Amino acid sequence: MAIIVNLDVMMAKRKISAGDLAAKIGITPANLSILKNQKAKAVRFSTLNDICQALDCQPGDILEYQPDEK
Amino acid sequence: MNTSSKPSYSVWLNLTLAASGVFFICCLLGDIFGYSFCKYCWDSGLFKNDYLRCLSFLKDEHIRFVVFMTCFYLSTGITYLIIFGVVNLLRNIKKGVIFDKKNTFYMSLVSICCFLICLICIIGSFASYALFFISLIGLFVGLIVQCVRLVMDKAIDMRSELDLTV
Repeated sequence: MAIIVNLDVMMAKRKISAGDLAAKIGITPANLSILKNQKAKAVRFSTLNDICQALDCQPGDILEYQPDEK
Repeated sequence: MNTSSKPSYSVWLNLTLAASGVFFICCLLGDIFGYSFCKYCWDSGLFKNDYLRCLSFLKDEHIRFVVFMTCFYLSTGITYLIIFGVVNLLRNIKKGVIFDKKNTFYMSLVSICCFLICLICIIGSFASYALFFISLIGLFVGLIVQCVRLVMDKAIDMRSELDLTV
């Protein structure tokens, strides 16, 4: 997929575990895992807002666009 | 709201399953007594309708009856497949498996079988025009089931997308 989720990079930078982040933003660890492993098909703005607030970053730090290889 | 917890829902589901069983028995009886029944009706002139007169070999009444009976037995054979699809579909619904690709497969099976019956009866209608009405019913039911299958297919895609929305 063209959109890459760099959540694990930001989590490593902020030194926060997946369980702690899931608890902080109020989603299940299973859903956070879906997001981290590039399996998610959509992200709600409210979730993105909570992630940015918890990690003190911008949406662009988490999401990245990479053109598909042909 | 969970519809499966409604008492009327499970009653209707069980009634539909029972109706499928009745259809299976009818089909079985049709296979066993179909020849005698059709012969009786044919002799009394009930199915002996007009036929396509440009096909000279259909002038022989015996050949027309053979064509009619062949269509009858081919259709009942395919009906078993339809009942198999419907019963499996209902059993999946009873188990709570609704948005599943298996269900769309069973719906495809049912609609393809309906189209096959339609095709067989169209060919049979050369020998007896009465079969033409059965082919129309087969086509109509097949189209309805195909529409429901397409809706179900889309619903499954939307559900999987919703499941992967964080």
